[in-house]
Amino acid sequence: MKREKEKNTQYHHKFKYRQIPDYLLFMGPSVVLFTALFLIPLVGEIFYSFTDWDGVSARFSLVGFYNYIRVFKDKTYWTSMWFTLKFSFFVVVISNLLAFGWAYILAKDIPLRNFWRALIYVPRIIGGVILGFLWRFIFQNVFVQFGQVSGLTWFSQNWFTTPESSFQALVIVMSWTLSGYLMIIYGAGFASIPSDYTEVAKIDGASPLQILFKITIPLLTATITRCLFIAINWAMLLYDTNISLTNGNPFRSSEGVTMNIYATAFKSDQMAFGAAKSVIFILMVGAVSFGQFAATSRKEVEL
Amino acid sequence: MAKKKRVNTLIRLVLIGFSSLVVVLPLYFVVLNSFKPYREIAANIAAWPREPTLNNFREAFRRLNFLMALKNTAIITVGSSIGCVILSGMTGYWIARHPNSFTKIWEVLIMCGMCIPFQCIMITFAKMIGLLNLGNHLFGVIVNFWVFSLPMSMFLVTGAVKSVPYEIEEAAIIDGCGPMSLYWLVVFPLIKGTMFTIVSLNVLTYWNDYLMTQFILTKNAFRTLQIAMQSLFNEAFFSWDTAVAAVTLSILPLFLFFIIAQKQVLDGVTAGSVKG
Repeated sequence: MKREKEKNTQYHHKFKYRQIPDYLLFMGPSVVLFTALFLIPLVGEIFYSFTDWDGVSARFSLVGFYNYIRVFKDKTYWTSMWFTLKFSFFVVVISNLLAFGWAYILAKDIPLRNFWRALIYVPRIIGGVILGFLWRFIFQNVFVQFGQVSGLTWFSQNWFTTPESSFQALVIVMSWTLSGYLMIIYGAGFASIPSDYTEVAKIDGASPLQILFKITIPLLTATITRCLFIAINWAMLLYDTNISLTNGNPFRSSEGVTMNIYATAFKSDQMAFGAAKSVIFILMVGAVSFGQFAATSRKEVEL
Repeated sequence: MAKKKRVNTLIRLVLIGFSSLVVVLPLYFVVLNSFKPYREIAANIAAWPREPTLNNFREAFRRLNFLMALKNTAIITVGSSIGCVILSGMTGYWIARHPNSFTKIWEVLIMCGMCIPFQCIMITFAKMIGLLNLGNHLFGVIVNFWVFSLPMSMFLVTGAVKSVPYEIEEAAIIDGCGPMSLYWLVVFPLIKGTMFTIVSLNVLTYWNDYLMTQFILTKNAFRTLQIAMQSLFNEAFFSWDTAVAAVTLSILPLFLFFIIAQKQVLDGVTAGSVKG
């Protein structure tokens, strides 16, 4: 006990003046850069959302909640918000189910396990812009030819000309990249479950399904929470793949919120209006993530 | 019993094999068709190339200005990785070992960066870039990557530093080690594994970023792969044969990286899953 206390006091340094050069050396660069490129823009964004700044002129005045009221009346914004929420829902569900299934299959002994893991992870290394173009080729050429040969009209439809096809395409592409990534995380979760639990259950005569729902899933709740959180964040912040795959077509119906903010701020030069939109957006992302977190983390089981 | 187990393994093998096939199929089609002239693509997309050609690649190479884009992307990735290791390592170490109100405040502020996406600050960020004169310079992108990868990297570093026994540092201090040599000669070698994880995790972000990079690099001479691809697909004389070859080309470098650093990348996924 005494030793522990001694140890604590040893590196519970109080701030000492002679250490200032060391503080500058170790923390200075990070602190300065982080302030300039992250904290100031963040505070600025919130501040500008209460002004009428257009991004070009040096003069602006405070307008209170005017921009926020405009956002609430802006139909395109709420269309894109609804699109993003709907899109995220499908991506989160599909990619998590796939990832969980794959991780479950790979959890027990299986030949070439690392090979399968690497193979399914591969889509994740492709950057968002390239990803969209890659899949544009698949949808507009491979799928169409396949549909013509097999007679399945869903494949040979005119991709990206109807809101439904754009939506489905984005969901497919995003699930394609995310699933392998989440599978690796689920895999680590499966590996952390001691095999004694499942073995004891097996001896007691539990069926594989019972083991899955009564033992594995409850013990994996922390991993599930984490994977849902990651998937929600990825899906809601969609941008690169959005512009390269559908670019909002047709008629801005497949436009995510980030694209909408970008268009407002940089294409029609309404910086303050865009800032208000992004503040609302981040509150939305926070609310969804928090809601999910609150819902699942309550069920977590401690080993 | 043993037979049942073997059947079970076989079923799982078939399932995972089929899934992998579906996952990899799009990539297969892209690579396959980059070796075919357009009329063969249009005639039968699944067929093996009858007259394999490298013309698509030559054309894509020229139009993407591939070597330059590759060089820019590589410089950004390497520069960002090195800086990220130095900055997040030193700051993370200092914060972990000097817990007082000053470091605590900054730890919390920097950790906030993990929850706030770039989208939320991009408007004023774009103005800030102009103000600080960081536009149209590779270094501008590099500095920003240092900042944006700082929160998560630092989080991993503080975790790793806390697992290093303090007695080792004590001994070094008694032997007359200053803070700089203490970190670089004693602590850094012990947390090298975490550093590898951080780098392999961040390389994907650095290499693939588009949204932030496009604010900074607007001139043609500073195109990264992602930006070059974006403008290639928006060109008027667009054709699918060149486009697929361009996609194949631009995936290739990171694919090679993945094959080499597979273990680190996959380990990094679990370590970095705190953020995503």
